[in-house]
Amino acid sequence: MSLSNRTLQILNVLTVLLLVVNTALIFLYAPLERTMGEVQRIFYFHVGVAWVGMAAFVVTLVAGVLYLRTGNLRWDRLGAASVEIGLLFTFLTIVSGSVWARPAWNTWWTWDPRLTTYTIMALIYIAYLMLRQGIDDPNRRARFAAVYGIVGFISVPITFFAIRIWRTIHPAVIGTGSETAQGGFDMTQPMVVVLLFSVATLSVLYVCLMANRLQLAKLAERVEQLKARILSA
Amino acid sequence: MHPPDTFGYLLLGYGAMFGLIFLYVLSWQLRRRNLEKDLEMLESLEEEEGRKT
Repeated sequence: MSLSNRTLQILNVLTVLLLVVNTALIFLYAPLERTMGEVQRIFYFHVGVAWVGMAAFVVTLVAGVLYLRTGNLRWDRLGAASVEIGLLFTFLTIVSGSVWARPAWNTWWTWDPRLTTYTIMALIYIAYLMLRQGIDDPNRRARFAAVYGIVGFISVPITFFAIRIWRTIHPAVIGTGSETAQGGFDMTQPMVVVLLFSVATLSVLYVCLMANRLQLAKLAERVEQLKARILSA
Repeated sequence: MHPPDTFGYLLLGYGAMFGLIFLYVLSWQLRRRNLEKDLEMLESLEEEEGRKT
């Protein structure tokens, strides 16, 4: 994901434009939901950031496997950047869900199985970043982080399927017709269009943030290498 | 039946989300500035070391 400055600038501008169009679609095109009112529009962003956040942890899993197979630090940089951005998306999911829950459930937070597993997942990935901070040797850090990223990933499918495994008040978005899906709701055609556009936009936002974050990681690596060279001289 | 008035929550939600993204990107700028300072200092240190030897 190493891009030239020009390509990165184009990607940044494209992302901002997509976010503007997406927000306009959510506010102006998506129909008003009768039971919850305007706050239901948070749903389009909430579902998008939740999906992309989990996809970011899949990237860390794959990067971890690739690092262990090749020993190339490029995969370590990718995995670490993806955790950081995945955590940003996780916090966005928690904040947006909490604001939606206040009028919908009459509470900002409840220890529902989905919310609990989601919190545990966030804590696991916060610990990933803390673990990295505690190891100085880049290769040892990369090896530990890769193994942790693979083992920690177990929390992602558990969180994703929590609404099917346990009794929960969190609505299911996919497969609402199945017996295990509780609290689901039917979406009209414009709602589906806006949801899909949101997911696509937030995926582009993820790619854009990753590209920028990887540039920063490269700079940090240069500083680290120079520091090690001076200390060993 | 009129839908409940929840527009304030909608604004709060989007404000908080975009605010978080903005703060995160801002933190990059601070990190980048610090790294560039470190790099500059380390490069001058290395240059000094090279001149001594």
